[in-house]
Amino acid sequence: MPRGTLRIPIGYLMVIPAIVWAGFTLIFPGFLTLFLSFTRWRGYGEILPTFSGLENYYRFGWDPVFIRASVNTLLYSGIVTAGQVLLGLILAALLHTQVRGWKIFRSIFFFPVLLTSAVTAVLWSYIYNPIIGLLPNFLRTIGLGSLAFGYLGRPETALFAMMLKDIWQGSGFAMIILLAAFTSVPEAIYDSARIDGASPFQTFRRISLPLIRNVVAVLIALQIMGNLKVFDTIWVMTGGTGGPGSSTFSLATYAYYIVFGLSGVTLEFGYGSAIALVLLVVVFIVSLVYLRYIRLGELKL
Amino acid sequence: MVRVKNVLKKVVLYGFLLTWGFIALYPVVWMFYTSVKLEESIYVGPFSPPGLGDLTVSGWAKIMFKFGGLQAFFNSLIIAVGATVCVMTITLLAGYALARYEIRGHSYLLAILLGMIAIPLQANWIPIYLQLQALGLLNTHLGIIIPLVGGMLPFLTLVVRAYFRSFPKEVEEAARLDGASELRIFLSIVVPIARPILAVVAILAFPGAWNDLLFPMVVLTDPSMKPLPKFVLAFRTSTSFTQEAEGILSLTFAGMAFSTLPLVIFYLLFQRYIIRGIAIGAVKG
Repeated sequence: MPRGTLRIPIGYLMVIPAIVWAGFTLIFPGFLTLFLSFTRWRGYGEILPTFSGLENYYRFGWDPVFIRASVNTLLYSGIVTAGQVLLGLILAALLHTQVRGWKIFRSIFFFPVLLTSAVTAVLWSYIYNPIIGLLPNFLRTIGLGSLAFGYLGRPETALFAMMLKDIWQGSGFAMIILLAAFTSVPEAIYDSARIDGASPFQTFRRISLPLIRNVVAVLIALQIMGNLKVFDTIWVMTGGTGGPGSSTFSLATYAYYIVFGLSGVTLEFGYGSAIALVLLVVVFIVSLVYLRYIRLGELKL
Repeated sequence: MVRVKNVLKKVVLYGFLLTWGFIALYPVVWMFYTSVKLEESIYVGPFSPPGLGDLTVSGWAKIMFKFGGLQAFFNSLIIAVGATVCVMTITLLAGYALARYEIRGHSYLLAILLGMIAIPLQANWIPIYLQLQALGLLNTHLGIIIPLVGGMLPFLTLVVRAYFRSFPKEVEEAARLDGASELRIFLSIVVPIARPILAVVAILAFPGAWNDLLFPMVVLTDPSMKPLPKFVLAFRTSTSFTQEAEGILSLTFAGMAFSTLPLVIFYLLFQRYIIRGIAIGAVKG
């Protein structure tokens, strides 16, 4: 290299856009969310936030809707993840037994994953519709007419109805991941198990499952993270009101409701940020588990 | 006895697979054929496929031309294509550099990227809204693209980096010895090598941007800018129809079907790559 020329650190130039861009949307706003959560700020009329200490956090204690939203978020994420992973595991295990036409089944099972969840949310609110809905009409046909009511209209069933929709939509994702994991286990291991006289179920329990344990852990963490952030399904299926009777807010929909309300009016940035921060912290903790198990090259945390 | 048991096992196995296949597919099929039925026929027989007598495309026509569905489709396309191109370009540059160049502070950069994976974009939209407002980017498609791209970058950069690390660098080094410039090496060797992983990146990024509802809801108030996920919100429904306008059912189903058709085509075209891409992207990295 001739003397006097500046050696351009080309590597830096190539990495900087990624770091800066992601920093602008993840790190910087993350700290800003933290900061705003200690302030009182109604976006309309107040130009700047005023520091209010832990006021927003005290408010959690006597805001029953927040407490309900937290419980809902945890319940939702737990049950939907369990449903998606269990169903995905069953489907993947069955397809891995080399059934005829398994590729077609795989394509069909995966299909709902790709759909827009806002659209499937509208679709499912019609599936639950007591008049034209698939489910109530099906129940009436098989003589369970007493169960055919508007599930989304009752606080005790609304959240479960939405969970069912996301289990329907998301289990294909779990299936794809698990099927890929099963397939990556060397065929010889299955062969020797078969020769030793193991039943398919034993092979599954004692061989397949232990070998893909890490993938299952990654998948569960990934699904919990995704399901904790639930927004589209709940917002659309309850018309944004968290109804019936604010019983179905999640943390994400409640934060949006607090800031933008239903009419698009800018309300409470401070309290909204405190709610968002709770979500951020919970997802962050689960992510650490995820990062612990995921193998990005040789990268370890 | 053994044979009976085997047949029984087959019946249970295929019975289960066919049942779930039906459950997975039928709601969408139902949505599509209901979208071309007359309003009255939907009430009379909600599940019967449309006969010649009650077939109509008026719902689709109204959705596309009268209610701005076509516009929403193009808005979705701009957002999804824009975001995908940005993600592909930036992850290629950063992933390659992190895999190949010796950068001081390399491990810090990796740690920052890993750490950012743990920060959920969906919990950060309030400051992002304020930042975009300060930049005058509210009510623009760029205002949606920026956060969506930022949210995908850390993970996908590491995916691209992992790909290059598993790829021998002899070809590039030979070209370097022959005196090729870094730019030349990048364009004529690295980019072609990277095509499979860029396909994975695109397949993960495109549906993510296409399907997002939150950021259009945060960034947009102008109805002419909204993409399909926000467009269908006009049809969100409570559990009863009593207070709803005439013809709303066929319109709603047409709206949903119209919004879903592009994804169906996307899936039919790229199905193999999508299924493989998801499996690679989510677990292995």
